Amino acid sequence: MTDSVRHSAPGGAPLIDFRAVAVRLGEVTIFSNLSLSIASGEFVCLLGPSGCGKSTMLRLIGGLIDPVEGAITVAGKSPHQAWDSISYVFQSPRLVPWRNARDNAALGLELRNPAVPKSERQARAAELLRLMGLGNDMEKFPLMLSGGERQRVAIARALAVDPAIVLMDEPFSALDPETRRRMRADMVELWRTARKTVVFVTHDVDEAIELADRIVVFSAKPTRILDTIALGEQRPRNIDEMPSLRATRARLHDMFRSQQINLSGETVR
Amino acid sequence: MLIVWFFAAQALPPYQLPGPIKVGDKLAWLVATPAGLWHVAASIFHVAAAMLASFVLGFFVALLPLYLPVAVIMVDGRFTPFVNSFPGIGWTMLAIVWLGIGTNTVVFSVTIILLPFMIINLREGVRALDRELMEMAGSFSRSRARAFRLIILPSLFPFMFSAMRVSFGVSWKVTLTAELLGGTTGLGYLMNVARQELDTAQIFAVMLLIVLLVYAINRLLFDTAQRHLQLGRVGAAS
Amino acid sequence: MTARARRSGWLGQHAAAEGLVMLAVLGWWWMSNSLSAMVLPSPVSVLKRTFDLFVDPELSRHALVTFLRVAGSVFISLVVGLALALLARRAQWIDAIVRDRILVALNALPSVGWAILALIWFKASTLSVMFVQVMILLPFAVTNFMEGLRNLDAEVVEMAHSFTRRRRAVFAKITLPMMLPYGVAALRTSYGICWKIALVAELFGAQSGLGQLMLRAQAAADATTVLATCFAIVVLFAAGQKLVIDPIARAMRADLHQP
Ligand SMILES: Nc1ncnc2c1ncn2[C@@H]1O[C@H](COP(=O)(O)OP(=O)(O)OP(=O)(O)O)[C@@H](O)[C@H]1O
Ligand SMILES: [Mg+2]
Repeated sequence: MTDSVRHSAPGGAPLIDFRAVAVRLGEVTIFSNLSLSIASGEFVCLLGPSGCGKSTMLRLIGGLIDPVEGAITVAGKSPHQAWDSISYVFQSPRLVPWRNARDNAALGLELRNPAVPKSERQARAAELLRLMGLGNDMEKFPLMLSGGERQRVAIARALAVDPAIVLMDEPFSALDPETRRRMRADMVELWRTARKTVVFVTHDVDEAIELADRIVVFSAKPTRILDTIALGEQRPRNIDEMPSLRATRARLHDMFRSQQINLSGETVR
Repeated sequence: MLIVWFFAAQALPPYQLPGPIKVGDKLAWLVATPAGLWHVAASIFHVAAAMLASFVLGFFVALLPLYLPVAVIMVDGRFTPFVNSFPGIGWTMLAIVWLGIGTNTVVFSVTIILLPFMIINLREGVRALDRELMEMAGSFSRSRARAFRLIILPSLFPFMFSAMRVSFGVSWKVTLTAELLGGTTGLGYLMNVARQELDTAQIFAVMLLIVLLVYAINRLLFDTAQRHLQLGRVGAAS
Repeated sequence: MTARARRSGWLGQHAAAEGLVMLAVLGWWWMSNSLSAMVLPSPVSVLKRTFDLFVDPELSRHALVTFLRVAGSVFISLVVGLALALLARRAQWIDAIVRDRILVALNALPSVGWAILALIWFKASTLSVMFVQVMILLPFAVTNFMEGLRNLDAEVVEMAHSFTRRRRAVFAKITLPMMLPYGVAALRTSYGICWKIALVAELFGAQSGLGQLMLRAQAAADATTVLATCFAIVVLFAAGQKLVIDPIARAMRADLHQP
């Protein structure tokens, strides 16, 4: 169960660093002795079966829960001090129903930094919504937006606080395949311009391959890191047309098959 | 219906069933003379003061377990059931002993009687608070005050509204009782006088006025407010 | 939260809750020491008097009478409420009258008003007390049953009609069982409200019952009995809820799940 290999970021001081971390939720130990580091500007995908602790990893980085052993640093500080350089995009958009799209996108900023005047908050929210392709829907309330549009508002809300790190927890898993594909392409575009550090949770192999600089692969419980795979290919990536990516896909599928797990977390008999 | 009433009243002695004309006279006295209006205003004041006081108290009690989790059973298992089943008249009787007959007694007892209605509705709201939204707020800010103002308070609005609406319906009935037993002004006090003088027309007039008042305020205040509340949620464009 | 943490949280919660109760009783006791029994009697004497209310034959008669009136009124208002709701389903115009006139008026009319009128109409008697209670409970019962009938599963009723054309059979085998949850809800609501207004109803229109007892105690400046009556109501309410209402609700639910 121990993880002696150190899965380190390529070059430079890591922005996010896990050293021999153990976590217990309820009576269950989710990780023990987990080490991982993520460099500044990196796009890292956490890939693994359901229930292995991917969301838990993000909560640790965000300082929403604490490890029982080991240490986590974010930009050299503890997560409790670094929380304001991080923002979250959750699996569900978590918009408040009583605000329209623009005010929802401004809400994160309002929560984090009330010193920013209202006009500036609104301006930043509007700019990001335009960037997310929602320039014409700013007055709409969440109930009137589609699932994909709501998730875009949530991404705009996260980016409006101008964080160094964006944590995304299966942000597209509730969307239909077509919307999902479009959102992925937009995500690549956005990341290229904004150059944030992104930690992106998914259990979709293709999604991870399309997006990541590095894929961290988790096993089912008891959770450990099976492998980390660095991807240097140019984006946008088309898996079917690039042999190296096809090979990575096959490798990942093999890895899960040999672990006797499928990505929805059930052990294969 | 009016016609049936008219003829039935002809057949029965007036102290059992007064005719519509006599009741109308009394109603006119209530709403068109300073003396009558004074009592109407006193009742409105009692209702408003008690509702405000019980809302503030209820809000505090209902939110206490949110910030002090150890108080859950205290609030839901002890305090609320107790004030909910303690008879309203009991409070009025005790208030008469403690505070004497008058406005204080009326407002005090109505406040306590309304308290469980406020708490039950607001607790419902606190229980319905969206944990995902709270976590979202926590990810953006560590300020509890801002999370309260921007997430918790707006989430509770519909429940505050229904707390007010439910209590408003109840408040008129219990204010009348409290005024009757422990007041020196108000519609309930008038009813007590009428009861002693067997002035059934007055009793009818007061009851009629209350039905009209409750109906009007519900329509003008609460229905309008509710429409605004819903509009705000769905968006004015729809 | 771990199971242990939850258990200790549970312990802590009970400690806090029981602590509050103890503190309240202690505060009461302490204050009663410096105040006259006419203003604030001590908790001990109130407890003794509450106990008397149930065991002293002269006093327990009042408690029993009040309890029986509540039970009777709840029963009558459920039966009449169901009848009215069924009647309203017969025709649009009856529905309109019940909904927009009878319910609106009954909902808005205050219990004291009914109490005084009942006294004038029926003199001081059990009839007048129960009249007041039924008048207050009726709108709640009717609303619950109407809601139930409105949500009646039309497809199931249609299925029943495909097997039989006997209305009585459909009513007994389909409509009534499907109304049961609403009946239980109506029972619960009516029971709670009836206790709330039980004293008001007995205040003027009765010669016996806890309401009368309280009024007489109040006139005699006997605060001990006033408080004891209040606590007796709290006890009766809780006992009825635990021993009668909850078992009925459970039985009804069990009934529904039987094949
Ligand atoms: N508050 C909690 N108390 C107890 N156990 C928990 C708690 N939260 C999560 N767990 C358990 O921890 C494990 C990891 O949960 P986590 O949410 O991190 O999984 P995940 O990898 O994100 O799964 P998914 O892909 O389904 O989102 C799961 O087995 C879950 O049941
Ligand atoms: Mg997850």
